[in-house]
Amino acid sequence: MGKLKFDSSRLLDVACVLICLFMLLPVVVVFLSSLDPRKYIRFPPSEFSLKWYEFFFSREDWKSAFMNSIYVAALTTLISTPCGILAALAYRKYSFKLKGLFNTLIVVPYLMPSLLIGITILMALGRTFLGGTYYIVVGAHSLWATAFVYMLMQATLANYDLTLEEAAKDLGANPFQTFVEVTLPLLKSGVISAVIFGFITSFGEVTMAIFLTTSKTITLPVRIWNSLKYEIHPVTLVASVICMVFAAIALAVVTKLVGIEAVSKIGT
Amino acid sequence: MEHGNTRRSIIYKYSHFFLYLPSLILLLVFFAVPFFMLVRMSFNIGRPLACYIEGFTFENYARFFTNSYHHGLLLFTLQLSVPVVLITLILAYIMAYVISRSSGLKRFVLMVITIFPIWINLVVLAFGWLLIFGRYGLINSILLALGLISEPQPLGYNFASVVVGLVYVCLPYIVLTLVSVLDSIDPAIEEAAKDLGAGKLRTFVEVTLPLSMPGIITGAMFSFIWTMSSFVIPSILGSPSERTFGIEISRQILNTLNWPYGAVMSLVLAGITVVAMLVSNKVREKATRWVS
Repeated sequence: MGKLKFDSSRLLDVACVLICLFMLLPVVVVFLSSLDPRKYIRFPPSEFSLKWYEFFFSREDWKSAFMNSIYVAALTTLISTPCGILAALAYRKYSFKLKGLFNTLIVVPYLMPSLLIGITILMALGRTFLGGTYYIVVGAHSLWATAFVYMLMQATLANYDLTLEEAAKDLGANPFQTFVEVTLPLLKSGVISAVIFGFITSFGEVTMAIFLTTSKTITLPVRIWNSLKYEIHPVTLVASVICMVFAAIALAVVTKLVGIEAVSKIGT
Repeated sequence: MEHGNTRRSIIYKYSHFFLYLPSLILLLVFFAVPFFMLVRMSFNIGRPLACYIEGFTFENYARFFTNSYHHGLLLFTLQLSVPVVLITLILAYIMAYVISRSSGLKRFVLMVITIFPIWINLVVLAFGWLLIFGRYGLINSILLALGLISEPQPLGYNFASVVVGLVYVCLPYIVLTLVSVLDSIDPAIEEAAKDLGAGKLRTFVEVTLPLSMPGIITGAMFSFIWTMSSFVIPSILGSPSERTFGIEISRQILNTLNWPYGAVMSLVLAGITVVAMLVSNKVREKATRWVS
């Protein structure tokens, strides 16, 4: 009996290691391949060089896709961070009739398939002044990013002591002072995480962007998508590694700030 | 002064509403109005390559409900979702079980490995699988090196590679859902079962598994919805015979340029999504009640 117990947990651990390998495999393969200088992608690489990295930064089309992604992600952050934080504060501080409804509404876009969101926005706004601009992509990404910021801030605010604000008010601070000098500093790590979360949500989003970008506003993931559909070239690997590096840095910073457990609660 | 006070008190009274206002405006412009427009679009006159012609007709609906090719695609996508949901649930449950039973560094590392793919975008992950399954990819080169095959085999661009890709992108989310459910199970309940003489397996089957049903149902629902609406993964990892419903919708919008017809298909997909959510809510309620 004792031996059997030992075996079953061993078996689980082995399965778990295999699943981890499964999870990491594509990431590792893309990274290693990006260092291979050969013109045709083959795995494993024969030798290592930074040839395609130099190539990436010498190509205007790839560079501009990269800059577009940064620009769209920055604007998305600018919109989603205040939207999400304010809504989460309202949820924590007040109780009112429509609270449940508002709470659901904000996360609904995240539950709807991004394919549908992209298509509906294209149909509704593609032919208005927003069509073909950065703002149509930013708006679409902000729907998701706001939902994430909102959920992250809800988790942060759950441990937040409301009586501190009362104390500030009793000491004569007006609501604005209270917000800037008491609320914000206490929520600092949550807010910074929210900023990063909003940024990376947009930076990595591809499905909506496929419908909403044009050759002028094309983002890096959409450029990779085009390349995979029509002409796979080693430089696509470099673009992919850049996406992975951004994700890794963002995850590391947010984990440091709010802990991996808080990160894992977002979107589940 | 008095006027100022009333105004201020109104702001206080409705401050919760003002705090929600920016998000609500965003939702109105980019979510509510567009969904309304989708419904309107489905009644316009659709001609290939014309985007749409303003009008009011039911012909798009009639065309969809009589188009057996598109019913076939829907059926194919449903068939695709079966292996995806089942494999995802099994792998996710194992991973989540180990995570929730571990602590410290082990739990941290497993969590990071789980979460990292979520933060990378779909195309990059699909690219990775393309390189693994490719003619000169990882699997072929391993098999060649081991002498098991003498020349590269076609491994990618088929049903199996699409299933692997979809399982891969669903897995992290479902693991996290299951971890939060498994974490919330009071260990005392399992201890009690053991004290009453239940073996490890029996405790798992009769106590842990039923208690984690809500997470399993949620996980099944999400992997189902994502497969039904998937289009990036199957169009990169599949061949033309793995055309999912999502791919066909995107083709109607981007290639055929028949928006009203694409709108009808989108509404069908939205309907499937909503029904899946409602059904899973009902089942979850039942499961929770049955357990307690």
